[in-house]
Amino acid sequence: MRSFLSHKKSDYFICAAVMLLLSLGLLSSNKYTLDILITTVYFCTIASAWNIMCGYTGQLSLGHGAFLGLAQYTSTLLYTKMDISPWLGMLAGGLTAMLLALLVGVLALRLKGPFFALATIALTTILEIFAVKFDGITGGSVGITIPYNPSLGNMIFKDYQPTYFLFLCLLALVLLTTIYISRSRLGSNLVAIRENDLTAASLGINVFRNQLYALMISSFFTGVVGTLYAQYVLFIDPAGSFSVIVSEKAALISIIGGAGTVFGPLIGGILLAPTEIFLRTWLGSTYQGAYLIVYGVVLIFVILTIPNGIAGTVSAYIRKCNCKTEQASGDD
Amino acid sequence: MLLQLIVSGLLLGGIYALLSLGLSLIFGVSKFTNFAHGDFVMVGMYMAFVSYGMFTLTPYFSWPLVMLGGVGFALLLYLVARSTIEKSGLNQILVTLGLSMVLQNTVLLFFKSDYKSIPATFGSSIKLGTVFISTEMLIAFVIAVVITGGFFFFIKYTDTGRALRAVSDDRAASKLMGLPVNLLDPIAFCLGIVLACLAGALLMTVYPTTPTIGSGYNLIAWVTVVLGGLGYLQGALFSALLIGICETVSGFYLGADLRQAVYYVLFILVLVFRPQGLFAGLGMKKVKR
Repeated sequence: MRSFLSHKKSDYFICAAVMLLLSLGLLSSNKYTLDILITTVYFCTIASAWNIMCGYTGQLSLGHGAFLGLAQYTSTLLYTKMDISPWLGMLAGGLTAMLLALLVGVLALRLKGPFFALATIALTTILEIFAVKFDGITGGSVGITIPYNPSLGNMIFKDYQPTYFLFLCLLALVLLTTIYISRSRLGSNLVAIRENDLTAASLGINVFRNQLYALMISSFFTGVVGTLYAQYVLFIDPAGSFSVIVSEKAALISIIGGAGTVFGPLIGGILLAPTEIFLRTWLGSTYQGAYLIVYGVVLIFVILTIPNGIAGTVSAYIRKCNCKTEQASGDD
Repeated sequence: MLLQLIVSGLLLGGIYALLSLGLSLIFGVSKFTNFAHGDFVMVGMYMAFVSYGMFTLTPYFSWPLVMLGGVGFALLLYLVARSTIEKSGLNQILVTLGLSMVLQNTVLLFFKSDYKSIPATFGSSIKLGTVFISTEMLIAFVIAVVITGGFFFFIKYTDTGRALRAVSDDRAASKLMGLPVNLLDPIAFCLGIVLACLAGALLMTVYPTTPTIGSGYNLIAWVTVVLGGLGYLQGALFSALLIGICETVSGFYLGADLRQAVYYVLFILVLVFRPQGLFAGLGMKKVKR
């Protein structure tokens, strides 16, 4: 047990180190660098939020875009139509995402494997269709442009540093929550469910309720980071908000990095997001989908060779080494 | 008007049946969850388009090429996904998802994202009483019915078909009985993917195509398979017709943009409240265990 806790202490340490490293970016004033950093941290945060639900429980959601989009529309409509500050809108967006998660959970969490994934894809598509259809409220497929009025209250800034700082805070919050959950009863319940849900249920774990909590926490953070991103790019539209591609990216960044580990999504995001931006700018508009080919090939490769992802494989290796050294010291 | 909608829905559903049969077969025989199925429809559409562009062959004549290409793509899928068969379903989803991204964006590289179509061969429509039927659609439907009939004949009366049914009934027992399961998996993949590609070629005679069109067909294929009950081939057939009708009727009464929402909602409701499928317990033979 003590080794379990001390292991988690090292998690906090790594988390602090990574955040310090990333916050070095605040010293830069180059907008291009900061944009890359913001996008990277954005994808790290979405993937980490996805990981809380899907990495720990093994339920594959390909519809986190539904939570993301709903929250973006909530906060943006509150801001543009009723002039409510995005700071409150962010919270409101997170909460509506959570409510949607409650609905999804009650309906769909009893589904497993491909069927949960399909239901979440279908849900995202339904919401996208509605967002296009009810154009009186949502502005239709044209989307909504958020007026550029830089001020702290509007959460719109002239420079990129404050936005980057906010993203960093959110990433830290999500990581801390993940670490906290992974050492809590909820976390161990979730892992038990992932490994074998029938055994977990027979041990008295309420499978449905634990998964529902995880889904709600996960969707809340997804929603919050979505609203933050909307305030950064100042534009939302149905195809971008309720995008299956973004949901798939959240899933595969997390899986390539190592789903069900605290830092897997972070590793995946830091590796993949800059690669994506680099490929996009390098190949330009002539080869617009080329970066997704890379994503696809990497995903297939990772699943076929190291299905536990980078972090999962590395930590298994470290554990193996630790066992060996402990055995060696025990022999003395 | 309703009659008109039902007739055109049935014609559309006949083509959908091809893709849902293929998906159902692969899911039944190999217990393989294919999330790239719709992308093979897209690939079939582009193969038909390319054969028209290069040899001016309409899909009515280019189908052998499309079938050949389909076998190639099926073997590619099998090669990539072989090691995940009989393993965790999540890995199968993720591998096929990766493959779907690769396929979509490779096609995007070569053909760009604009809609491609083949000029209509006949163009006129037939009038039957009060119902107008597009000639293209009718021919596509008849071909689809012939293929479906051939498929069911193959599954029911040939040795290979019997072996496929046996494997989908009980994989472990079939292995013990000496059935070459490792050989039957690629056969099921080939049959399923070729059906999807042919469906694509037929759809190409009526609809334009674009690289991302596969995601929609993927969902349609899964919706029909779930509605029909997993692994029930006949169920998949009926629900494909039902989805076709549902699409045209709701498209007319609710507007074209809401027609997908209707069957996605139906899909979620069936998944949640009737996961055994709409027709379960109506005396249909299961293909899956």
